[in-house]
Amino acid sequence: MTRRLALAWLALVAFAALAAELLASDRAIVARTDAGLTWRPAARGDALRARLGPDGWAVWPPIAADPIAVRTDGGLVILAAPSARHRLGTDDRGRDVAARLIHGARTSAALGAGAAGLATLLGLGLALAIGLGPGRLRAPALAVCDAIASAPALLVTLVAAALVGHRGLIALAALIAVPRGADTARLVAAQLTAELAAPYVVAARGLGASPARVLVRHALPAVWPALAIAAALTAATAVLSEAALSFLGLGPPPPTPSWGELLAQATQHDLRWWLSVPAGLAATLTAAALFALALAPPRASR
Amino acid sequence: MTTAARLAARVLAAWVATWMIGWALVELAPASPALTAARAGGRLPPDEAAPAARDRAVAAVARAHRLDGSAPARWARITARAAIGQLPRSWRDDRGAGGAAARHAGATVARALAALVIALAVGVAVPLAVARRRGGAAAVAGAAAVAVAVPTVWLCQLAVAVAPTAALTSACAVAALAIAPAAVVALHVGAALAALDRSPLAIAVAARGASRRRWHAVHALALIAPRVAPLAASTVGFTLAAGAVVERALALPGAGRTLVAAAAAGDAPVVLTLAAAAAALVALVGGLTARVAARPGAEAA
Repeated sequence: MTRRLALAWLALVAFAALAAELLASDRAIVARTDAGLTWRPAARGDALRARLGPDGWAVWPPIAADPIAVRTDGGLVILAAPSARHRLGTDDRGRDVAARLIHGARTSAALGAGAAGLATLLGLGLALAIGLGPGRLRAPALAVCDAIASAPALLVTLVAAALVGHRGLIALAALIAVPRGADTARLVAAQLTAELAAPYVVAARGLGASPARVLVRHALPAVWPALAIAAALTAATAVLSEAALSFLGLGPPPPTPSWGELLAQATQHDLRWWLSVPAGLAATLTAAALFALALAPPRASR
Repeated sequence: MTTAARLAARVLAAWVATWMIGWALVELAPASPALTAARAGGRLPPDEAAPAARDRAVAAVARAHRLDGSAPARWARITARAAIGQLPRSWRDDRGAGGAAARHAGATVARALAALVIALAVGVAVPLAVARRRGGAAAVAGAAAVAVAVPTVWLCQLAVAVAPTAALTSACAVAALAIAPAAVVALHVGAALAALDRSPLAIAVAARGASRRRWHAVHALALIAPRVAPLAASTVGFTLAAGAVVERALALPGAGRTLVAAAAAGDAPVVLTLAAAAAALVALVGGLTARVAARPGAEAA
């Protein structure tokens, strides 16, 4: 049950991230003007409405507001409470909070997926090097992984972001991935070493299986669950780190919409609930879903 | 090597390694350290000034902070001096980085240690209290998964909304720092209790007439302690890092705010001093708790 709920929420976040432009934008999805039927016309908002003509029509996204550009349409309303026009109110620059929340899912999903992918690649590479490398190097390599993994991820990311100065999503994902990759390597290397010594692997070797075949057919499938758990934990760490870094002013550069940036705005503006509650809930539910997937008992397999 | 010497070596290694990796990142940054130092100290002339004037200002800052020479030589010099406690001066105000870092460190460390004590107490007590109830372990695991997932900044906002008085701010800060580590401890203790309850030892103790309460409080807790002890180091690490968020969200003084201010200004000496001190503290707590984890009987847990 918990696993299904977690997967459903993550699917919703992934859908919001992939279809953000179709869910929250001031560009119509499709419009019929004098020039004919147009998919995603370039004209926005009132400019398109003026062109539609008597027989024209347009299908708008559910939230017809741009998450980044401020379009006043006759009046700039900053920090407005939720209303029929802005269902989750506006932020301190008059931008629609619901639109920024949906596009913030894209930032969090990209950061989580990027960090998880990088950490998995790094962890698997290191684990293979440790598991298959010379035995005398195994203990020092694991000690180095232990030391890197024991460093608090948030502190590492904060310090490295400050020292390197890059604040792009890829740089942030890489900063989060390095300590988590070391942790992944530690977990996977332990499992890989145990699998390579398992009786069925020894039997496969005895039957003449090559080292590559033993690795691909027997050892690697056994470590996929550990890799999946580590990837889910990394993605959850990335979502929480993004919230903390954006709050501290070291997150993705403005005007990138993100959940952490909405939380930071809430602190600056007397904790307006429409800035704090939706973004906080979204980050909490996403991280909780990822933790729940990581902590759920493994399904029976092979 | 004695235990104290091993502990000292561990702390020194954490301190030096942080400086080595951190200064390597400073050298890898797109802007040169001298340019970043000039910018942090506000010594760059305006953008419209002649390039020669900017170059002169950067060269002067490089001489003042000993940032001249090649990158490898600079890296070796600064990390070697940091290893023996000769820290560079702050790029913002020219004062010693150690003094700037230590100014409010006491409050942060006190909050981190208070959060550690609360996290361990709550994280151990709650699974023990619900262990005898049907579905209690699952409830604790679910609550812990949610508690770990709440962003610290949102916890602080909720705390301010619920208890807006200034007198409660410090208590809110400690509580916000303790919630996630307490959840992690509770998860570990809950899992260990569930495994121990099925062990032959549990059956033997019950056969000798001990109550379930006594089994949990006396026997199981002693076996679980070595498993929980190593979590103290990661808890201290988390609370020190999250301290930056909590102090900023609740407007409290502390090393976390100093770290964020230094990070925003690009003041690498202060950032690295604070990071190295945090790494050394984590290594110290890790070394001390490793003694507990390594005691006889730990393997059984």
